[in-house]
Amino acid sequence: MTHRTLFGAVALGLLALAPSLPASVRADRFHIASEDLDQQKPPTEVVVNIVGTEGRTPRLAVAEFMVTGDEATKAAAGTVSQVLFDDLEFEREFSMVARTASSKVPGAAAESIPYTTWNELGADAVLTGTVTQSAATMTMDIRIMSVEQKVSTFGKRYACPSRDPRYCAHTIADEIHKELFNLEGIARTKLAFASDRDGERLGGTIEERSIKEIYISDYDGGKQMRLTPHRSLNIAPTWSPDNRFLAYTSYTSGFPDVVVQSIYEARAATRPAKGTPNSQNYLPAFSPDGARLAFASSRTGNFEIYTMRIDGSELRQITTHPGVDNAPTWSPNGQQIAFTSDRAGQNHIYTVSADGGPVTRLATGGGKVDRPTWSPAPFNYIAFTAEVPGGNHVRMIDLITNTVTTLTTAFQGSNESPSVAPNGRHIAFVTTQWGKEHIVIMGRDGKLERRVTTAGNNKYPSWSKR
Amino acid sequence: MNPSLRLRTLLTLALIGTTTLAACGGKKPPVPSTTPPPSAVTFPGATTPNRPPDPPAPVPEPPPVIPVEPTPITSDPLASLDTDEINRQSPLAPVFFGLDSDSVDVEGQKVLDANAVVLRKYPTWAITIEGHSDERGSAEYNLALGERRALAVKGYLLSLGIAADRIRTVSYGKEFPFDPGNNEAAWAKNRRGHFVVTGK
Repeated sequence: MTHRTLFGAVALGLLALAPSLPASVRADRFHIASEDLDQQKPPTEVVVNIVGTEGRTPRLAVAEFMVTGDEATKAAAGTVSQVLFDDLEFEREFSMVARTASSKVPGAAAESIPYTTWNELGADAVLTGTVTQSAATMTMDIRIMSVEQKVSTFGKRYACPSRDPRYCAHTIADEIHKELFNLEGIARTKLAFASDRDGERLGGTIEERSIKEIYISDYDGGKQMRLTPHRSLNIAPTWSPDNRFLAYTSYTSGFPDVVVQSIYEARAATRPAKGTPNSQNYLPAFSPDGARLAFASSRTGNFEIYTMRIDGSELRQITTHPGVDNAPTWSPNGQQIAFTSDRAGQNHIYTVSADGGPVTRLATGGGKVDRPTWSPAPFNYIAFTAEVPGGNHVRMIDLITNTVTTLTTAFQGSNESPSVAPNGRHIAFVTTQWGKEHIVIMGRDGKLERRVTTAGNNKYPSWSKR
Repeated sequence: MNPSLRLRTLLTLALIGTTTLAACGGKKPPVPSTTPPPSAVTFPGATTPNRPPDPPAPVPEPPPVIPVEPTPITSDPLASLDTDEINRQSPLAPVFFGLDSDSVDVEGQKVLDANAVVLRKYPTWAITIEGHSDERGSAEYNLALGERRALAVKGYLLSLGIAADRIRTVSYGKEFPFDPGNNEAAWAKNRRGHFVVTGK
């Protein structure tokens, strides 16, 4: 064995054992310390004031932060401010006063906020931040003041590590949404997807083929990083409910098989479906309780839906039909599975009990459909890919009214593979509108898109479960 | 990284270091000395004028002729190649499919009949049939379509008597197009059952 292959094999082995991530990612698992600034405030009363103006969405301005510290701290505080603005804008509980306007107002301490100026800019509320550096930590006092009543409706002090301002901002955004609107925000959620951005050539073939590996990022595209070391084709990741594992389809052994990999711990990946060249397995999905995986397998010579415990035990065949059954997704309570089947000629979406049995076809309208993704409760819809002349559109079907809505009418190119945010209000999908395949997120009404990826081709997005 | 893993890394690196050093010439084989052996000692003035002429130098015997091993006459350039070189010559032609179809048409059957002849000629070859689709349609659907195509090709070869244990199938859906174009000509090339020789 030559040095190079020896080193390659050893390095690969280590990577496979220890998908060690930079500290900034592991830090995401830890809570950023925070404390209420105004213990005496009556929060619910004031919330009504902010929301109440003529029933419209309250307008929020993010004031320039007051920063005491070195240049790095100022830069980090600036990142917090920008990311926080973006998080609040994307969730749309506030209508945001444009930063071009708010940045012209000098930052001020809580006692000297220029309420008249903010009122003239149309703000119902203003978010202020006072940042003090101490070693590697930023102490951030974040308040949201009612412009009319000049009182605080939200006030918390955060101890933020300066090296991770994005996570700090995401934490603040989630807490604002939780406290003021009792809403589970998505600012700390993540996306997983497959990408060929490394441009590394796939081995074992004479064709020019790029490897695809699994990547994860913040929901907004921050902190993108490669998770898998396989140097092969790896697609269709899906999150465990506790966000600690990804299951995906890997061709590392030369055929597709289900792989379950820990994201944060150095433990060996598992192949619970025990694939072989004659028993190939695709497109896993974790049950809502995290105990089982649904997946498609061609082990009988034809695609059927199966479930198994995540250790591979208790295998159950859910569908038995000569048609192709594929792409399973679980209902929020775990009692049903939706999947695609071409048993009626072209691909339709069907539902079936998670224990198997008779199937029900959904009225998704004309055209082939694919990749159903069941929304989390309390929403009750399934987002899916629908083939249209010239490409695909992302659609959703309301399971109460059976109404079908096209979500991507504003997008050029082909749009497919939707995944729903854990609060049900947003959707990630793949678009070719910018040429290559890229991940984009937007509201479930099709509005306010945010591009997540810029490098290479990126597909099969999966939004984390919390 | 936990401590035991870190230790393993260090050990591994040390191992690699040692191997590299050894192979980069830490020890050298003994080199024969090039100093000429001492010549016969002569004394100045001790020459003998009537010295008889030296005998003629012996004619060296010609070295025995080793006949060149005869090359077997063969019309088969493939036999000596490795699998990558074989695959570059594409001895097994691809089968093309219609849109959304996994049925091997008459044209495809002719291709497979010819491929079966090649596979019978090289009975040790193992092959993988890759199922591919064009970029239209959705990614997940095309994974299944690619597998159906690969299995259809395999089924036809089995019907011609090719042994099942020589054939593997894998679907790549629309992940690895042969022609990146966005037109019918490219799509037609990409809807295929593609042959790869994986063992010989």
